Amino acid sequence: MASVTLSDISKSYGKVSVIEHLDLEIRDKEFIVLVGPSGCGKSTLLRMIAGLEDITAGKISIAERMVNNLEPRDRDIAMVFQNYALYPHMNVYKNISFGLRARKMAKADIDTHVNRVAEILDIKDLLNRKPSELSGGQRQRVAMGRAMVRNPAVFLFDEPLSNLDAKLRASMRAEIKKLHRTVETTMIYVTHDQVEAMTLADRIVIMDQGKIQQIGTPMEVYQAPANQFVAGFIGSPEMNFIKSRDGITLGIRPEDIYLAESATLDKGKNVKAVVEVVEPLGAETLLIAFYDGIKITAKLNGLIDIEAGMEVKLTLDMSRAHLFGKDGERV
Amino acid sequence: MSIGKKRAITAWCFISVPIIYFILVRFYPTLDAFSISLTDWNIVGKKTYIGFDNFIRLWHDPVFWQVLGNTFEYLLLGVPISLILSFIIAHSLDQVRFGHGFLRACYFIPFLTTAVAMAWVWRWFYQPVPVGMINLVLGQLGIKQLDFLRSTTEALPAVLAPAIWAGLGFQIVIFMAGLRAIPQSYYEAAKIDGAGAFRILREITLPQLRPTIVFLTVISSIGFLRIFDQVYNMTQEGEGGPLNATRPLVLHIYKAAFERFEMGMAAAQTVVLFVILLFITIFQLKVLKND
Repeated sequence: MASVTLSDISKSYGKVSVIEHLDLEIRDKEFIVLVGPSGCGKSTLLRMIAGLEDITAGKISIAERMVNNLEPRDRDIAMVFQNYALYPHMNVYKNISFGLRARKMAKADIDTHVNRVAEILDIKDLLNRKPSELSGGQRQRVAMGRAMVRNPAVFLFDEPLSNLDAKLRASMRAEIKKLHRTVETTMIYVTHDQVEAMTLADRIVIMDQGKIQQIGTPMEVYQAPANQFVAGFIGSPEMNFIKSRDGITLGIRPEDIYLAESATLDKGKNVKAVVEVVEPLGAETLLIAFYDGIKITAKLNGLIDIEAGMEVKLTLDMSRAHLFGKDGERV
Repeated sequence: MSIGKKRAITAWCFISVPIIYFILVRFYPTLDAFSISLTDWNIVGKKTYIGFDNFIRLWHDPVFWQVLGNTFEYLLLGVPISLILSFIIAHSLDQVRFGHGFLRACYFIPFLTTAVAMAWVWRWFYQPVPVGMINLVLGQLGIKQLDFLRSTTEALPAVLAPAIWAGLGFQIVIFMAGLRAIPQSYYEAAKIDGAGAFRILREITLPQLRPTIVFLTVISSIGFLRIFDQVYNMTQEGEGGPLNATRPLVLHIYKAAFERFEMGMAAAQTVVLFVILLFITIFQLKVLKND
């Protein structure tokens, strides 16, 4: 039960400024995802909330209590690390109960708590194993168990899925989402993967160069990106940008481009382009084509019959186009 | 020839050099010592086979037992003291950013200094007033003067101190490498989990350092069991006195071999030392590694 408020936060290492004047209000029980390219300051921000990094200026509050000078253990938070940080010499039970033992909880209570968490995460059979005897996905669960067992006010996740293969990542993503519904606790999740951000978040915070570029629900940031950076970062494949002579940039997503022959649009703009690469993905086919020297990526139906080198007529759905000014901001 | 075979031949070509070296310079003399220990030999004359007579003489020699006792005293005091000291220093140095390199160098320099020079400087430290520094300081503090190397009870610790000090630099560097190898995230996770400094030390740092501790215990045990330079250079005439109070086994072997030329006797003692080293090392590896 806790909101997290960051007001006017700055962080610098010597002369290098990592985060400048950042404000962020995270609501109670919200699942917030911090996303951005590497070096954008998202992990630093998370570590400042955790108390693992000092803040240079500003104020951090958790549950309306200022925590700037509180040790990590006094902030009522738990964190899941990218490499899981499971203690290799302890078995799963000891790993999960470490925090409870550190807080001098009675043995019987520790047992109850560990078993409850092991039940939820389906790791009851693993309690006597060492981390080295676990698969990646199992380690991930144990790391979550260690975080959950203390019933913290806020969960912090630092790229927890980046060491897993694609299939496992997808299933763990679903589990984390389920976990959020079960425990109803504020969660702050850092990732560089926009798919994770889109699927998990109540609200996404997109960061670049130490600044927040946009905050919004997944659909908001996708449908109405605040600037060209957000537009390019969210969505895969990346949005196409076509610069006009007056400095305005037109942005159009690959899925808003159709083959002219099969399109029936009211506000369509037709262009002729030469296909350079065809990437069939099964359900859909990606077309990389050049129009007037500009690269355009189109996401088309999977059943088209086009080869590289052919000239095609594409229709851009202008009702779904985005316009950005000279400064990159949405017009 | 297959690629695997070619590689194996190349590897063996390289390995054969140290293998030949070890056979000629290490293993052969060791095995030879076993056979010499069963003879009476004065290094130039003929070896006479006398069976286990040397060992029987050792068994009935009170000086040998005293020397053996001294050797174990060096071991049992030296290993724990040096390991605890070096761990404390390494752990503290690990937290220090300012002057880190300089401090580390300060601790490492004694390891590079010759034992002879160091022993003589320490010998001078231990002198009575007005020459000896330590007694000078004690005197100024109004504390009773200590006899150090002249006392049968104080001499052994007095010789041990520079031996510990000399090896400290090496142990610190190894400990620091071990500490550096522990991922930072373990400490961060523990801090978030609410563990205090002592719990982190006991439950994370020390268990993680286990291989380092095993290595240093074995290496320093062997070192203290073979202590020689400091004793030879710090005691009167290199006798390991007063009254054999500081004489370790290796010095005793040296005296038998190169002053009395009782090569058989010296070899017998070498065999005893070999067996002791072997058993202690195996024991330590078994106990400390069982995980």
